[in-house]
Amino acid sequence: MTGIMRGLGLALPAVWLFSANVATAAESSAPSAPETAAVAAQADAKPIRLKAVEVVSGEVFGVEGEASLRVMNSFLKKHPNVTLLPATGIQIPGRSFDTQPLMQIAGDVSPDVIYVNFRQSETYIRNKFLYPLDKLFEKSAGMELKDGHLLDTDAYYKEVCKAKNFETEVEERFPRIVWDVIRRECPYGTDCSYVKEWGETSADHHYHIWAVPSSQLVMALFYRKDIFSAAGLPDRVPETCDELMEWARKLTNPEENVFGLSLPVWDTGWTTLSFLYSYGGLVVDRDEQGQWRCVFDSPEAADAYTFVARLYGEPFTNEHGTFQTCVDTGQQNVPGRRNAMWFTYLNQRAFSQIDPNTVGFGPVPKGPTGMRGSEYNCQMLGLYAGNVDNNVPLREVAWDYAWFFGGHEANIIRAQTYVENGLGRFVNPRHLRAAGFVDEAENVPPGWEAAQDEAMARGIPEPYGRNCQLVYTYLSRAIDQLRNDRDVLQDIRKGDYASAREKVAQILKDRVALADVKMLGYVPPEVMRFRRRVAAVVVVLIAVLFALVLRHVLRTFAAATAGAFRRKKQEETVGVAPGYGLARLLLLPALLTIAIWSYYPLARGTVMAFQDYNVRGFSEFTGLENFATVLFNPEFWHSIWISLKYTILSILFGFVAPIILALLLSEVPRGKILFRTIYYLPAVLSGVVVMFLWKGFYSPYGVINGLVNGVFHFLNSVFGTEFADLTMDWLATPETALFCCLLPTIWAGMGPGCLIYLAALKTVPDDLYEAADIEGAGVWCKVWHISLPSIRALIGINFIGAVIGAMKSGSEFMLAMTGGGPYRPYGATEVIGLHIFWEAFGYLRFGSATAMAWVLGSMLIGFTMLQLQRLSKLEFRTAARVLVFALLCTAALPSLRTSAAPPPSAPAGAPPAALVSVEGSMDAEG
Amino acid sequence: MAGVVLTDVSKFYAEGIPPAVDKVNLEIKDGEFAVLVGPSGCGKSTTLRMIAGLEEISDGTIRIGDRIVNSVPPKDRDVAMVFQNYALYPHMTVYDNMAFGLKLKRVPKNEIKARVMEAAEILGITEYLQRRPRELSGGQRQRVAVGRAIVRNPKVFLFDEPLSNLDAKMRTQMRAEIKRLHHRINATMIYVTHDQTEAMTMGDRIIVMSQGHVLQSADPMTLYRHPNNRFTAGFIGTPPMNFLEGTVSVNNGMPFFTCPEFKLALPDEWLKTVRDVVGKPMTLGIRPEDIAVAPVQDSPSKLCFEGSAELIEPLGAETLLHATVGNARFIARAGAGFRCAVGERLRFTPDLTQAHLFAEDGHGVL
Repeated sequence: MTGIMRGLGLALPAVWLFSANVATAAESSAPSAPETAAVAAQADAKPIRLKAVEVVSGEVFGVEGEASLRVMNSFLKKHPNVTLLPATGIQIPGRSFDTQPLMQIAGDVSPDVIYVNFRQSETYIRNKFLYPLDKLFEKSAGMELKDGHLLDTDAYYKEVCKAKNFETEVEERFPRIVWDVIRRECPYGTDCSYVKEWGETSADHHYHIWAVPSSQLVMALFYRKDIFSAAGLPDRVPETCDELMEWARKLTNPEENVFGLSLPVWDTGWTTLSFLYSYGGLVVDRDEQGQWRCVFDSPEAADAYTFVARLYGEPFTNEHGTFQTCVDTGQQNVPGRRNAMWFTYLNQRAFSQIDPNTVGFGPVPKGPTGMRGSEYNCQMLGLYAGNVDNNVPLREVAWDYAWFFGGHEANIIRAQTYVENGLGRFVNPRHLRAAGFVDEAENVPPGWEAAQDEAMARGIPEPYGRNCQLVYTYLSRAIDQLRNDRDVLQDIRKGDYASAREKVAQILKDRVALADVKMLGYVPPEVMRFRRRVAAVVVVLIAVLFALVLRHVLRTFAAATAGAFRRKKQEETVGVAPGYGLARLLLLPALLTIAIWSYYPLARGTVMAFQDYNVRGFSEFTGLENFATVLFNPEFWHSIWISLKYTILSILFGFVAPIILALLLSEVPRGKILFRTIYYLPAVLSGVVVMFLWKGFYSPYGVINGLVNGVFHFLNSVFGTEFADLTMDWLATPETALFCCLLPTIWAGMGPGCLIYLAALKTVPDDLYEAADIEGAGVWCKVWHISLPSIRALIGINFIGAVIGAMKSGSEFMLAMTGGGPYRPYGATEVIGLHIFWEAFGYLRFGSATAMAWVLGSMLIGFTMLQLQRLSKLEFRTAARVLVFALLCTAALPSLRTSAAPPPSAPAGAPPAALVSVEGSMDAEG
Repeated sequence: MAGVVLTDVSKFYAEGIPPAVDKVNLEIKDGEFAVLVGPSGCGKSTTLRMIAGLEEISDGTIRIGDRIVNSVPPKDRDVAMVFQNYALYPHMTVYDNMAFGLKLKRVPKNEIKARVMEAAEILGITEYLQRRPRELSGGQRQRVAVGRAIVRNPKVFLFDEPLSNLDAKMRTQMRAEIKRLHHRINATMIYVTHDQTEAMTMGDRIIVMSQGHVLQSADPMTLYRHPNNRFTAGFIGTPPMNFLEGTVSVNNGMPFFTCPEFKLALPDEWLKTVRDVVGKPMTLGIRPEDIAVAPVQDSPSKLCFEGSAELIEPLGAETLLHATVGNARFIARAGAGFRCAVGERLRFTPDLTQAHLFAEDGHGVL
């Protein structure tokens, strides 16, 4: 729940994407005469299509949906010429919500009004994604200020305080704490075209407003009143962390599907943040130079995370029995699972997803210092510069939308909707009072206002410095590591917290060092010089390698085809065969397709590898910088290593399995069709279904543990052994995660993968086996001496394809299964393909991503050569019909599958279909 | 070496379908060259494959030597088989192909070498030993296949239409070679073919099969001269035996064969035999070489009939004359110097002492 709530600004609109019929449900609030005139004027204006986050479409559900719809309709009433369009784009499960806007930008489908959060804001500003809102803000706030961009934020805020609409529109929505986040230095410097456009003074250092808050978020602890009362606990949140642990353990009863506390593991950095802050720790802090640095290795942090590790891994006994943990890690999707407590932002939207009658909330618990650590956060809206820079009407409408959406009037509409639905007590009391619902405001739990006030006064803003979008990722990885660390767990189980704390402190220290390098990107100049030199050597090497390969390819294929051409030429001259004109013409579409979809991107990618690529076109050449970074990036090498492991596993199991299956199937005396169907069936499942099916199998209460436990129970009951129930989370365990990700692909890919071998085996004449039978060969002997040699050429070429394929693939499965984790310290399943994907689309670092791809490509070049060599030696022949059928099936598979997953035959290397027919015939060389 | 005895051997593939092989009884003697011959689908290959152990037997017993081998796997029957498509392992050299069975038997390496070399010598393939099968011609491949059988020195050699894939010339050549091989190693050989020439030239004994049954089993000349059924009579011999449809009658104590177009006096000694079939539809079988051709003469005779020449095929050593009498067609074998025109009326005099009479069910009456 918390994970979902965190990404509210994205997750909820994503839900609402399927919602509201914009045209229906008109909300009427009688406009005043001048407004009517303005509306009439707008109605005549040119129609504008505004694509924005938070736009509801389709059917709405819940009171929040209704509130949003009313707000939207109210906006549309003011802007009759505007059509609101919801944002589109893909969402990746299990990954930070931050990636979606970046992927929208990368995919050129970014909305005009985009969602901005604290931790991503620096990235957005630095990448020049945002339009500076100074003049628009000043106009809406009712102030006139010349050269406001030259003032520092304190001075600017003083000016804002004097604005006409300060009290109604600005004061509450733009508290002082948020100004450091929304108003930041301009990345354009003296070249800032915006300043010039406004006719103001250019300056190297100046500031702009880049985003406006749409709603404020304060962290709170939520609890289930029914579970609390059943356990005899008071109707309030625990006061301290220790009390929280005590209560969580008291409440845990896995038999009844109840867990004390929900701390989902896909984003542990964020879900456990309250503990860090309450213990007095911080995630990041500015150093003396004003540089942001990670500080989650402080003694306070070590205390906090030892506490967290205890929550996750310390066994305890309560009235229901002895259990390993009181925490629901959120991985097992068990229907009916109830968690007694969870952290999430205190926001009226949270109530659209919970039953407010059974759920209570209160401030986060105090740490040992007596401090209550609260995070201050806002959802913010910004205008995507790529869309609004040159489109003034769109820009103005987009601003109106952003301003209106989180503004005074919208808050009143929301409050009204809630009150009308009898949910007034879950609305920010300030909004209730503003809307005139004074009585309702009295009924709001007192914690709300207090928590908000405290957060505004002493809250810790979510980190918003450079690369801060990575902060939680690195923090989560640290927590993933320490909560899975055997030594830490051992100490905790022994009750030796001091020793556990030491180990936790060490893990945090290592992690902070890593995160600092990664986030701040600071490398001493002499080290950088060395790296550039290495990069230069590598780049030259890659260039030479590719040139050599190209020459080799040309030679090999030229030699193979020259003879054929000569013969053909002779025939042409004596008038036997028609010319090549038509053939060449027919080849043209294929050539064009390859040129456009393969070679053009390759060329573009090559340029990108030497650029600090910016999707908005502000790319700059940086020489060998990307290669220098990539080559000395331990995460890159780790991903290569993971890919290598994945490749070895994939070859050992995924590549061999279809061959063995094909051999078995060809030996089955009866029911061949039945068996083939059984093995082929998984292939018709969409990849996503396969992945989620297996994700369920792997969960602590999934089929796999169930099977093992079944065996344990049997052994225990028959032989009196004492095997404890296995509740292993296979995907969260680094040792098993990689293989577990591979297994479904083998399972689903074995059937289709074996088809091609089956087809090849079909072409082996029966009398070969009969001759061997007579000569005294057994089954294995026949397999070894007849079957395998007959498909050897096919295996050979498939093998090369499989190695190359496995090195590059796996990402789609990892993406859905683990997202690359568990991280300890690096992602145990973050294969290189996935790493490149994150680099490019998750962080928009296309330059280093393409550099990685080049390095990877040059590593695989040996295999490519081998493949080409084999290809050139193959003789193309008409193959048996059955083989052609199998090929068609295999070739058709990818297009039949609709999921993001690769066809399960991919592990087998998915060789170019046409080749295989050749291989099937026994005339293939080799 | 060993003989092969089949007792009531049957093969059923499915209910409701006539058996592929129906109660076959055969005895092939030790060292004999037996040829199973018959048209496609007659069950000859199935019989051979049952002997090899490649097909299960539905009923009956097969004995190789003193042993009943019904449930003995192929490898333990001590037989070698040569297939129509050679069945050479494509990825092995000729040497390895020939040595494969011996290697599986764990025969010492030097012995394998000696045996392979010897077989290669016999078959004249020594120079190809290091080649792969795809580098050989059809005839060479078949020699290798035979060589592979020889090296194992089995009790029984089985050949399943081994020459079908070869061209006519190569077939004739290989035919002789296999025959020579048989003389040389004097092994029991069972040879399946649909080519009656192959059967005639190679077999010590020919077993004619049709529709799963053995129709006749005898040495080639007996089969040729004394077929005991119309099928064998028609199957063996090129050009095939002529068949004329008619009835038998007895006039004045003399037997006659009557067609719509003519009436032939049958040899007196047939009288006793044909008395029982008088008036029944019968077939008279006469081999082409037993019909003498002469120009038409005025003197009518009950020993000859007249017909028209339809096609003349001079073969050099002889001339085949295709002729018609009424609706019936027949072939006569004339001398090398025979001349006539198409459509010319000729007198045909069959040597009825060499003729055969078949009842309506195909069985020989004489």
